[in-house]
Amino acid sequence: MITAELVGQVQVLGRRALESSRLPADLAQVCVTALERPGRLLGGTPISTSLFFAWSEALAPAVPSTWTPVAVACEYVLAGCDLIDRHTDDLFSQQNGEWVREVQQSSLAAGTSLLVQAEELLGEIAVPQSRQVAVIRALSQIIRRALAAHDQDHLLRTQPTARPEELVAVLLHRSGELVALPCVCAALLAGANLREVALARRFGRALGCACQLEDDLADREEDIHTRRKTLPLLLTQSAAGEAAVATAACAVLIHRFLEEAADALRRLDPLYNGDALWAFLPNSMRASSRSLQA
Amino acid sequence: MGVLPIDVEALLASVREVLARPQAPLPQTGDASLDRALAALAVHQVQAPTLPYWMLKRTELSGQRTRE
Repeated sequence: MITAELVGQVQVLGRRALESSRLPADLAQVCVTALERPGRLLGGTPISTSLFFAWSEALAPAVPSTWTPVAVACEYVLAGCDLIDRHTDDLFSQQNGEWVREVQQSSLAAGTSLLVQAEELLGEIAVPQSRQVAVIRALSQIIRRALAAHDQDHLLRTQPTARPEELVAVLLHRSGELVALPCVCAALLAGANLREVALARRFGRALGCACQLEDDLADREEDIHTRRKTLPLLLTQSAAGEAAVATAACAVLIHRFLEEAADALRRLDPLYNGDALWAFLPNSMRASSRSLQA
Repeated sequence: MGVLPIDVEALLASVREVLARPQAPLPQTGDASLDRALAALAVHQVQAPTLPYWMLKRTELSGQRTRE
């Protein structure tokens, strides 16, 4: 179970790594601001850290402190991609029909710095080399997929409409992969087999998609101003003014992604310590899992 | 992933039907995952129709995070 003390250790390490990066003060400050957002490293309960330790505890008999930098690296990747996304938002922002001229180039530079620094952090972890290489490879692949999806999101903003499958692809490859990262890293460090790593990834991707859909549902007004294309916006437009129907349709999609995550957990060996993992999903899904097992 | 593909018009039609008559037999979509999600929506529509279903789920998740 993740504790405040453990989160504190990750935060201290994250701050220290940033200080030692020798970034110019203004860029370092942009990084700190991104890391202070809710759900990020310095903003309340950090999502990647929580997932990393939940999966570590589920699959490993003990979690050594040498793994802590991996949690920091996952947080850096999430915050780095947030910053790159913000740069795109700035590019497409309009106020009163006029383009907002002040695009924050520092968001792009700071975001890229965090991604690179995440890889540097993994280069320094003291774990068996084969596992270190596997974690670095997973992180690089996921960053690459997230950046490609980011590029696709950029392209969609230039078009008048987007097809559902295009929106789902962006959702899966960006939010889904980024949330899968700490789950996959923990499984690889724990020496899990291929099936378990795949289940960790499936859980993280589905949870990431569900959480992103919730955010997109809440941010529909803002997304119109930045020309961002999302499934909740598409459903709202397709429902032609029936707001309750559009919201409920989004809820159905969110439910299906959460069910997908629950299904991944049900397929894990019941001997694993999965309590902390089920805490990310609605209670009702665990209850139905128990009744199925009974 | 079992959630895909997404047929927007069919999804909206099923949701409309559930919201209008949550206690009637549920529409059978031929997709077990979608049928389960629609059943959950119907339950929430009957039990807490004033609270958007997605918000109810978020409240539940928030409770989990607080307990951590």
